[in-house]
Amino acid sequence: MFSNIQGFMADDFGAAAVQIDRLKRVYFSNPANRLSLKKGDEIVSQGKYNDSLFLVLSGHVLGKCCIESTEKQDLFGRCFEMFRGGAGTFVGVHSFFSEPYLSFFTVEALDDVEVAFLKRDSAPIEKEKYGSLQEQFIPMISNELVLRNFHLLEKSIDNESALNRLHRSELNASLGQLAAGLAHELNNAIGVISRKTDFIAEALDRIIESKITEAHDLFHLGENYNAMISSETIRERTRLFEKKKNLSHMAAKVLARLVETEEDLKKLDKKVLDDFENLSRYWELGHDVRDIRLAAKHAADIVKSVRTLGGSNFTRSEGLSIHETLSRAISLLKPNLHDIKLEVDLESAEKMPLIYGDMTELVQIWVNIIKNSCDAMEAAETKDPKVTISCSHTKTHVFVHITDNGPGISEGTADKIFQMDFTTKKNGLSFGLGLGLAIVQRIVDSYGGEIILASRPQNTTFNIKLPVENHYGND
Amino acid sequence: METINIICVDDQSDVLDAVTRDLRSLEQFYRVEGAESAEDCLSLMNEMDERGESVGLVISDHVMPGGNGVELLQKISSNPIFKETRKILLTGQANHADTIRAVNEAHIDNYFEKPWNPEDLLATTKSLLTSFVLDKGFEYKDFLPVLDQVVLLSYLKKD
Repeated sequence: MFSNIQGFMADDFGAAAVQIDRLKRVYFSNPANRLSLKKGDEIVSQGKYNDSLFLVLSGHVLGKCCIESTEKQDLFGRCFEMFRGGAGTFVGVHSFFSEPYLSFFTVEALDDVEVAFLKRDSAPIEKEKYGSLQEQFIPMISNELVLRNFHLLEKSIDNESALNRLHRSELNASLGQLAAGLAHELNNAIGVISRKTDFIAEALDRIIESKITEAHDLFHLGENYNAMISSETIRERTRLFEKKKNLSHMAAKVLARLVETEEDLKKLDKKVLDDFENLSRYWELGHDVRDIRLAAKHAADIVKSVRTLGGSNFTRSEGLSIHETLSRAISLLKPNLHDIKLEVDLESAEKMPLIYGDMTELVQIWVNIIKNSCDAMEAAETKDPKVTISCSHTKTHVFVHITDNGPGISEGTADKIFQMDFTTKKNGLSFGLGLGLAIVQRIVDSYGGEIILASRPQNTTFNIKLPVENHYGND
Repeated sequence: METINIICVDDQSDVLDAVTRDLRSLEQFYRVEGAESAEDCLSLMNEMDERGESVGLVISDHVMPGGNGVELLQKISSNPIFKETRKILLTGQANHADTIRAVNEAHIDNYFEKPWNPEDLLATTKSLLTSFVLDKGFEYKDFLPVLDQVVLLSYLKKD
């Protein structure tokens, strides 16, 4: 930024630049008025008398201000950087022009520095045309003022982003601890629920088998029930069975879920059907066991997802290959792809530079995004569903492009998909925790990366940008 | 005797199953139906209306794909046919703004958080349906065993 501003000054304040150039030429070119300094030498010292204006000819200088007021006890004695400069920087500007000619900062040499100086009692050159020494130096003073202000602005921007980074990492750490603690407690509770459910189910199974033999099959059917019937269909069939089989609403509802066709009905034991009014509750009992088991599994899945939100358990290191993380993710997903075609441009993946990262986190990113695409295509019944993965890179970043030919993400939805709790997915038992893409966003953020979404029907691409190994932490 | 329906709405079939089962003791007097989405609920209500049945109470889940519970209950309350229908929001994630909106805009009668207490749900259902039966001017004696005595008395006193 520093150099940019100097460029900006030269271009846009041409007149001032010309005047400053003249000052340097006419006042600072006498070889007799030069000093050579070593690293650490002070050109001017805070609080000390100064009668010269210095122009840095070569090397670098640092201006710093140390707190000497006892009112700020906690900061007493600490020094803060005020400006930095190289050739062309003026030093001693304030003390040169303003009484009592005491320096505000200490300016020291950062390496071998050569300066030219001008004594305060020097006579102004071409006074008739350019005025007094003070008048002649006004463009330089205001230029120096602007430069130093910009330097402070730059420092304060740096501070703010450092503070943000710190805040984010603290947030991550505390969320991670909280998640880990919660996960432990919940997993214990879920463990008890699912084990005890199994015990109860086994006991029920034995009791029913020995005492109410005709209900045994119904209990099993309920326990292993897996059909997906819309509630509308269930209601229709219920009405039908209420009339046809003379069943109560409750029993008819069970039968409606149990049989899909007339054939299914015939398969049921006649004894069972005759006493269905009474026996239907054994199907329900089995079905209750099933629901508890699924709910426990659901809860365990959520715990697992929340745990990764904290993300404190992962260790990132150098030399991680994008290609390897993609292959790992794909092998995890393969069994669940059904009819979805997965095309991976392995050649581009192999050419990718290594990154600094954690295998599990990267696999999480790919799995969540690809799964999200697959779910969307499945729900929309996309014809010839396909996910394509390719990679590209620049000097500083790798890009992974994951494209599907699904229904696309509308603009309104695109704003929300990375939020926690947002889901468009219907089947609450297996998917639709509303965490998947929130996790992806979180991980990518923590890498200093970016997700760029481009979506239209038949073509939705998630572009994931991550820093390469030696650029990690630079953003 | 009037056919009065209770509709429970939840996208999760296990939750839907549990809510309808909690109301089973009312089945002799009211019909308890399940709907899996807001849309499903609305079309079911129209069917019931066409058959000449009434909808006494809708118990809706809050966050559902395709249309949330507050919006559903709001639609119901703005439909003159279902002006008297009582409404309960059953929610897994309550925040202040949602609650206010539900009460103000959807005119819900009651608010339950998941996991709900089955006795409370049953008692609230009974009391809401008692006032529904009486407001509609149905023959309350048909429903006597499942009417809320306090609500009933206060209505009878008024007359």
